Amino acid sequence: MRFIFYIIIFITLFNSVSHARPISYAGGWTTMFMNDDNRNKMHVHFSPTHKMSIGLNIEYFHDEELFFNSIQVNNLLKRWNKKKSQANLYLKSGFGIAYTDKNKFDGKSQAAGFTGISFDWENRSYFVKYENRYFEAEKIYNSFSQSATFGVAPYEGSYGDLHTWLMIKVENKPEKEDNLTVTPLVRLFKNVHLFELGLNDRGKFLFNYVKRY
Amino acid sequence: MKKIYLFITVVLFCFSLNINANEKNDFKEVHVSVNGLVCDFCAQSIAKLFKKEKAVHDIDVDLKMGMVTIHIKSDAIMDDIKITELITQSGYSVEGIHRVQ
Repeated sequence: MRFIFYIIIFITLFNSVSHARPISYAGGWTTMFMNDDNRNKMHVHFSPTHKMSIGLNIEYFHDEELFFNSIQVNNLLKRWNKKKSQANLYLKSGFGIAYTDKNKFDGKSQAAGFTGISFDWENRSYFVKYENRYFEAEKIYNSFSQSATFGVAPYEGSYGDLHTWLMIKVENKPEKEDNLTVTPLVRLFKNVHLFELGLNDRGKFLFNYVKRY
Repeated sequence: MKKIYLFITVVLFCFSLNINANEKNDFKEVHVSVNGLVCDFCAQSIAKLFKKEKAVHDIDVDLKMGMVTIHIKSDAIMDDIKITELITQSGYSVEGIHRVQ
């Protein structure tokens, strides 16, 4: 298991092909690596147009001991470009194979998929995002999750500067006993690199890295 | 001998000034007012797309003003349709294009 985790990190950091956003510019590649209390996730995608991306998605759910490999398609449903702000509505969907080692499901594989929407709005000082996702691997694991993120930029950097955002992410997983997680985090980005580092109310770290190519 | 060195130095100095003057004149500036230009990380896509174009020497992005300045080679042409197409492919929309004469 640890070996696969290291492979994911390696591919993410040294991938020669590729925003926090699920779609890049037309012809652009993006590598996203997300790691928190619930899961590790790597998503590499290509955007044939600025309204759509397609890519490979690899996820590992800690509590469920479940691997999920899928083809993920992201669609920009609507974008609002204003002089001092931008807002986006996305549909994210994936279909692939789930595999688990957990107890009664030992070694079981099955077709699985997910779908969800994501909405964000930002100007140069404030950021707001809401997203949800329904995941189904029928006989192994089904879940619904949603999150809201609020961010404030302590300063307005110029193009090419190091940009800093202070954020708080609130996650809800109705199926879980302890179904609310609050994660204060710092987002840093410069040029084509974006990092997020956070610590949730249970003392677990969040680390995200995104690179655009 | 000293006079020869002095003469060569002066000629070379004047020549280098002339080269610099030519370099400055080698580019045409186009200012593009862009809507949605608020995030540096996302704006990198504009640079990526424009720098693929042979006609483009360099670009500057002003997030505060929502302005993209394109430095186009003097012997090249990039019309408004092409500029609008590239900005749109980057995920933004064009509010206005102003060419510096």
